[in-house]
Amino acid sequence: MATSCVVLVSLGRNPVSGRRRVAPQDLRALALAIALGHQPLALHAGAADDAGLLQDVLGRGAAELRLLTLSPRSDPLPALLDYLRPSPPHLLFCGKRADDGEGSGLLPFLLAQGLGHPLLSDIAQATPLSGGTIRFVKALPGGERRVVETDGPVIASIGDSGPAIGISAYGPARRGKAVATAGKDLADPRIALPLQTARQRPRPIARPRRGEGMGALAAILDGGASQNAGRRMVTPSTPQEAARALLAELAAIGVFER
Amino acid sequence: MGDIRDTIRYRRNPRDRSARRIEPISQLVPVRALRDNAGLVIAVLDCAHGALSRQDIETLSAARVWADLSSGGVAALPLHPAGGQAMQVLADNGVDRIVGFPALQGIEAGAAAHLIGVCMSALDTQQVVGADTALVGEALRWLSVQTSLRICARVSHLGADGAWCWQGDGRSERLVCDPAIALIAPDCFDPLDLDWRGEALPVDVDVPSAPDSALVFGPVIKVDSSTVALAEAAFIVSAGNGVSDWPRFHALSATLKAAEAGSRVVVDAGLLPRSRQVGASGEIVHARCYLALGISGAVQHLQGIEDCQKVIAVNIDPYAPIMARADLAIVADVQLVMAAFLEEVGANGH
Repeated sequence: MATSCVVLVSLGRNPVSGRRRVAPQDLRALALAIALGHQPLALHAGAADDAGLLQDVLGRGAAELRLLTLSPRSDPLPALLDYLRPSPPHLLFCGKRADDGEGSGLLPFLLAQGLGHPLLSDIAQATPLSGGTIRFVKALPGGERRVVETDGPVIASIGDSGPAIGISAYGPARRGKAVATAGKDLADPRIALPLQTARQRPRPIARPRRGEGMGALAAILDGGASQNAGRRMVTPSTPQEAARALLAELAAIGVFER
Repeated sequence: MGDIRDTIRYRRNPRDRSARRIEPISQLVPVRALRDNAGLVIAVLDCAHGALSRQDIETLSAARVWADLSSGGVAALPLHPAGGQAMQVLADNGVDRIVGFPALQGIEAGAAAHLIGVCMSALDTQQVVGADTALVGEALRWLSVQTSLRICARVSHLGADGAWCWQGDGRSERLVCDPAIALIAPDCFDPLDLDWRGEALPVDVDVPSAPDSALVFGPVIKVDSSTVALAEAAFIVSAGNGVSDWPRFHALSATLKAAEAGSRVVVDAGLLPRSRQVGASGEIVHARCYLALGISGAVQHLQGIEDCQKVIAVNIDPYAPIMARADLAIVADVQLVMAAFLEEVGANGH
């Protein structure tokens, strides 16, 4: 069943060069589906321009690429729900947030609510277990992880800690055909107001706080007590003493116990 | 450690954002009492490990900006129990009410969303602000989807007309009117500079148990820092040009279960792979503890470790820039300290 696993793909923009590209988090989502042994359907809802760039996913193991063509200022959510609702996929993978545009990261949550499926966000890894159960590993900050096992159906969003993006095979990417259909086209009410250039913000600098007076500014510039409270320098006389100071500090922070 | 002398510190870079320390200010500032609980803005804080992060402080600033627009107050909602110092910092940042709950260790985002929803109805408010971190961001998105409250993400500015949200790469923004939930963008709300302290009165809210989630989460697993990407690692041991005993360095990182990293000099010399380079042209790291061995601390390197919570530096030169950035600076020969440390913890150096 090819449709039991769907990966949502979208176009992003390289933040440095501004070039259009397939969003990296979506490619991680595709890599996760492939790692689970699926040949997923890649689904995209959006404007038709540059959609040719999405051919790339066919060279990364997607069985089929389906495009729901929308007008430039419309909302992809109704189109996706309209397409997915008749036969909701057992597994639905997508990037955590869009690479371009609003990038609010709300789409996975709205899809989960619309389809009535549970959502797992920020998945780092997935392994199939026996009996159709899948073990998902959710990434938490600081490199911590949390395991969730589920039989599905489930929606998983993949962030920057997801599986590595492989390379695209050129031949399959060119040979594969994208199937384009017109999607349910509803204008997005949130983009009624025009864009404006973001206000420039000065780089934040350390300043004396109110009530500390000009002496504090001098203290900051001279590395005085007001900003350096809690910062210590020690000059141990032997390496053993230095090692003990290091050990005590690591234990106080809580990252290492002997 | 009787022989350890504290030495005088010297000039440091005022542009170093780590200098915006999260420490309590003087007790002499007057306390401002809030008349009633009308028009509170809830600031949802992660408060991981009981301490406030930079994102939490920015959340408090944004909440204060928002509350001042309607002359209301700020209610802080820490999702993990706040420590003693954190409570004081909350008051310094103009927090009027603190909503506290017993033991929320390992809270999952769905349960956190339920909790925030309960607090909103208990405090009779529809204004919530949080930073877009893993737990707070997910919880507030769930809350918005479940309650159909308008959420705006990547908020760079809050004004009387609404919230300005970054779009695309952050070079353009768009106005969202009447937001209920605001997820703030990083580095957009400066720390507050108040001439008064908040009351920080504890508020008790009865929380009915959350509806059962369809998914059963296992316990939080502490992962070996050396197996995750450098940008994610919680504990990093980093080597600079001062390290010459590489077998000992690798033994040390294995003993500490820390991620290995290096400055540009050692990576250029081929002593560590390119993916392990910390700095403006390498990885920007967010460790809880960054142990810098034999690193002088070039500007680019210090930019890479700006977000680290605690920095420990071992260097023979007390005037190296890293020593001004470090929370604990140890003036000693790195090779000897590594050997002594491994001996101290009973690990074999070679």
